[in-house]
Amino acid sequence: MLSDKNLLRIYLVGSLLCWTIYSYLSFENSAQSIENFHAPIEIPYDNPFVINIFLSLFFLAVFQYYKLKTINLNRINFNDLIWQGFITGALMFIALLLTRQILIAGQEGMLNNDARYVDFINNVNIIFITVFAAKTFYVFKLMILYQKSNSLLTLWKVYEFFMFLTLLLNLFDIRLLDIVTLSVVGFLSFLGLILSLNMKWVAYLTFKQKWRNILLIFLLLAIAASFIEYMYRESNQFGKNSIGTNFLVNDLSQKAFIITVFIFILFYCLSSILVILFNFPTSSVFEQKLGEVFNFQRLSQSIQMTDKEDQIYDVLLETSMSTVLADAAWLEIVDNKGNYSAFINKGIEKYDIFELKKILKRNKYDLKTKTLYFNNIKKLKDADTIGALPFKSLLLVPLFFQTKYLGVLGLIKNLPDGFNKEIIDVVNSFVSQASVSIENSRLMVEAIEHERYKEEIKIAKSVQRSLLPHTLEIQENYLISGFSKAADDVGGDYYDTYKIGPNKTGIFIADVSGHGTSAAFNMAQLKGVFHSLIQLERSPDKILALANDALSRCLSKNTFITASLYIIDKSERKVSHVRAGHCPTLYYSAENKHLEYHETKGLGIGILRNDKYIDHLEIKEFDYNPGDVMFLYTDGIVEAKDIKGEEYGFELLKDKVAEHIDQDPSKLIDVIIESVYDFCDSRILGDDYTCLAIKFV
Amino acid sequence: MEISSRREEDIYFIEIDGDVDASSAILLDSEIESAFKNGEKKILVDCNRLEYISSAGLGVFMSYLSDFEEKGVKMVLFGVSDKVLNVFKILGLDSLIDIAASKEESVALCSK
Repeated sequence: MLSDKNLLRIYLVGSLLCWTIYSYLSFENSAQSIENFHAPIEIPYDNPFVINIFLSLFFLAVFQYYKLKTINLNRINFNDLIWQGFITGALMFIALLLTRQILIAGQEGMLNNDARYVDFINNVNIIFITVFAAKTFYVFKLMILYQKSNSLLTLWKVYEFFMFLTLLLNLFDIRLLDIVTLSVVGFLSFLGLILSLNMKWVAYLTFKQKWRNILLIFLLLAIAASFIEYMYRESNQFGKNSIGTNFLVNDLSQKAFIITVFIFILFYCLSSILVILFNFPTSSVFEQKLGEVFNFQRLSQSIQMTDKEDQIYDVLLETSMSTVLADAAWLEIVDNKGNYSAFINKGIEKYDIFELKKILKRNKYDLKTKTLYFNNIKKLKDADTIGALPFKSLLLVPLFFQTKYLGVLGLIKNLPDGFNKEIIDVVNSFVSQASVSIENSRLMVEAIEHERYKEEIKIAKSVQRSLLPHTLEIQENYLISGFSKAADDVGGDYYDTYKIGPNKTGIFIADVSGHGTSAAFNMAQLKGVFHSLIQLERSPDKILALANDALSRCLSKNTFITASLYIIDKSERKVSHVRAGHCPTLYYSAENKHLEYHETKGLGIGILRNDKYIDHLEIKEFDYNPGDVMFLYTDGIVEAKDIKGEEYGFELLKDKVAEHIDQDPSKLIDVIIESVYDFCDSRILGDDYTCLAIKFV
Repeated sequence: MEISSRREEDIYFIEIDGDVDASSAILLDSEIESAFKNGEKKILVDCNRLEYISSAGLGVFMSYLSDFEEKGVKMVLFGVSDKVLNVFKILGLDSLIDIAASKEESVALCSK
């Protein structure tokens, strides 16, 4: 397929060629009227049919050229399109005037009434008229087909097809007023009229553009009219001269094709002008509606791009104000707790707003329930305080997210009845959009906070777990096993063992009051303190007293730590113990076969934050024997509650331990833990729980 | 948990009804704090209807010990159940906080 450029070149060259041949033939034809003229070539120039063929081909070529050329202009806006059409028309008009001058000048000279000369000039004018007709025809085509439907497109194609079919009529020597021609022209003009009713593009013009286009189209109309006038004048001229029927070939006024095109052009110019004129009153509304749509789009876009609430407020206020052309406006937003989180006002002072709200309150209006509209606020009761202000109409729109009240938007105009239903609807839709966005941005903030919090918990949990011992200190004189589970992700229970010198082992269990991240952090500090102090090889009460000293500095006012410390000396087979307010250890003596609680006097760490603390600690020193068992635990075990709310308790614990005292430490712990789960009828307890079992061998 | 308070002559009575857990401990704390700030010198805590006290609640009591000692405020608990008393004993708080058997005894204790 040939490219468009090449096709255009072909049409251009083709049209020039056709015109040249036509012009020559026509020239010879007119020359024949002059006597004593011998044609250089033997052409059947007296046959108008042949001449007409070339004329029709010329028309066809020019029209196809412009058809192809304007197709590519589809993307230009129609304002430029009309301007282009006008320019072409103006140029052709000027060209026509020029040739007229040349004609007159020539006629005053030697070529006085030389038919050939007149004929030639007329043929040149044919070019101008055809170009104008073609260009305008296709410009109007684009405008008609602006926002086309399938049926409109089909109608146009039919019209165009029959148009070109009329070229055939050109080939025959018929007058326009013949019944066939007349009916064809009539039919096509009717189609053209229907097509010209398609003026959708007019609605999209701004006020200024409408004036400009009316002017241009009017001028186009004038140019078209003058061309038509020229064609008829020449026709009459021919009539007057009536040198012969041969001259009819030049009579454009008899060419159905050209006439139909011009009729179409006239129709379209007239209807455009009328439609534009009649659109003036409503154009402002259309512009306003378009403006509202753009504003709404802008609002949606800018809201989606920001997650900052403040930006949403600014956009909402600005957009609403400009859309409804408000003279003053304000926006108040409350946060989740009901306090003002934003207050922006334009065109009205804050104290005036409060005054206004007071007046509304006095008149028993509630701003927080639904949209309120006042034709004239000055007509309200007790409205004298705002008497001096120019405000008259007031629109109050509350912002809601589902049922949650977010705030209120107030719009004020200086004339009464300033808001109609459509405007109120638009504002309502702005407000709902903004409300959703505000809520979304708040949820976003909350979600981010929550994520951050979850991350911190995760870290705290892994830190805390790593603080508990991976392995317990194993010595040849005892077996040991431990178990600990935290209630929340992070817990406050702690246990550990420590080798002190070649002979001693420290065994430690503790419970930080509370649980959660703060308990875990305190536990970490406790571990550090314990590990440093245990190496000092002091007696357990001294160690705990030093721990109390160190920790008192960093524990918060309401926090204390209970602890139980045993130092086992394997060489002396002695145990030294202090109970710092912790649950008393269960001790089984293999010798006596007696299980009892080690209830020594003690005080929790952090309760007495001075040097009198040590006075509250009682040391218990005793010998151990093989088979002795120690069961250490935290209050999560004894305070575990069943469905009725009864606690597991010390009695039950003692019984259960007694029952399974022969077991190895790990089995003993398993049994006790299972019995706690059994008792509570659940494997999930409300507090941290820990146990540590040691069996001396 | 419910807390109520009243004055009888120069003694400020605080009555606890229910469990003092992590959330209700805050109420207890603010109650004692306001009494302390108002300059009360004799605070008697009626624990007859105190069913359970958590470490948070114990923490509240213990946090005022030094302040009370400093300002010469006397706080006495009375009507404490065996279970709750045991909790105080294990922790060792019974040696730092006066716990009386009855209202009369506590009145007598704080007048000393």
